[in-house]
Amino acid sequence: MNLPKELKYSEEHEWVKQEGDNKVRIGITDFAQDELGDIVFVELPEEGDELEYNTPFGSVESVKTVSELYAPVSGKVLEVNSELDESPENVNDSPYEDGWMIVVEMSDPSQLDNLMDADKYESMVSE
Amino acid sequence: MDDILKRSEVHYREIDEWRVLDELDGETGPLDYAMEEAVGEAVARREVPATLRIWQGPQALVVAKKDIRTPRALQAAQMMKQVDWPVYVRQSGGTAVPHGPGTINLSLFLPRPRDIRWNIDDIYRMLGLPLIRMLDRTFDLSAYFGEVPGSFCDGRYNVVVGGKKIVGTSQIWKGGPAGLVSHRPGYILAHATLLTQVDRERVVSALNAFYEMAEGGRPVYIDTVATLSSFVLGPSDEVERRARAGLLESVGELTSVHTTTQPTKQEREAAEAYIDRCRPEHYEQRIQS
Repeated sequence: MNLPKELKYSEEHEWVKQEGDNKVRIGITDFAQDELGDIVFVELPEEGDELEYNTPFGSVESVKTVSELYAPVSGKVLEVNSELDESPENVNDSPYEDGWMIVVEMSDPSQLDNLMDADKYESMVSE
Repeated sequence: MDDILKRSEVHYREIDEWRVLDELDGETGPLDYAMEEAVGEAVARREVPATLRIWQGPQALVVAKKDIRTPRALQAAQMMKQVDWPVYVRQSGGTAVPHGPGTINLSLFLPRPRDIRWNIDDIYRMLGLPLIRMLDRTFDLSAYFGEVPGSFCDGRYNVVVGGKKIVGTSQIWKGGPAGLVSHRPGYILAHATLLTQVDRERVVSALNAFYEMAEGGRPVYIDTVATLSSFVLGPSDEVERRARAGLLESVGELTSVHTTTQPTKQEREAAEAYIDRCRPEHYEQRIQS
């Protein structure tokens, strides 16, 4: 299982990379993409949308199955990976690089404290 | 195949309580689609048990959200409405499926487990089991799961008879990624559409017309699709009556529920509130923004 140590992880299988005091990049974990299978569609919010912590912000589709994605932090969407419109398979092939989904300006950076480190996430998914 | 189906039967028995909704005699309309979400929410809140819902939608093409995300697709939906094939939007994945007279839908609702209990494959097999049993026991048809390239909403969990698709299937997992641990309440919805006696040529023409207008084509080939009446002799109404009875029998055997019910008042009220989400126009503002 590929779990970069520098990232934080949510219980809903998103990774979060801090890129400044208030800015984070978000995607789904290698473990999640592997379990979901070939992803054929990614539905994401738009730039400028406000995300609310712990509420759905998008979805992915694999095997004709839609899965909800939950916001690991609250804040404003600064960037959306529009490449995923044409190449949703990037989430499978490169979950931590080309498969990133959104960049968010956090409204409450303390929400990062609710996330897990790589070891704890690995324990959770191994249970 | 037998081993797979036996494992699915075990999954049914792992669930303590079931409810079976039979709505085949009611009026059809967009509320049927909103009801899917309303029932799912009630199952997620554990207000009602795990549920199997047998129903029929109005004549329509039912698409996933991804097929209605462009202005061109919205225009296509408007054009199809003018020729009596309104387009409705479902929550689950896949591509367009025909609904209406001559089809029977089966929806499976499960509360999202707090541990890993089922994956996407398990759920498709649970959904397909009562249909495959009905086809076998009522009509002596040997059905199996498989892909049928060129059919509508193709996938590896089509129910197939004689190499032709007779049932389409899809899923949504609310509350986090499918098949994975999630600590929030949610639900799993898998649904299937069985073609009992539709005019295949008319249905395939409608599917092809929609995709031609929406995205320049995604052809469905008539020879990939069959209906129950393709294999079973007799008046089509009688074939449909036997299919319904056989499906209720299979469902009853798997769930030990032999008395069907209707959605609760709360579910009906919730469905009324969700009804706009099944209309393509609901997504228009998002597309244009």
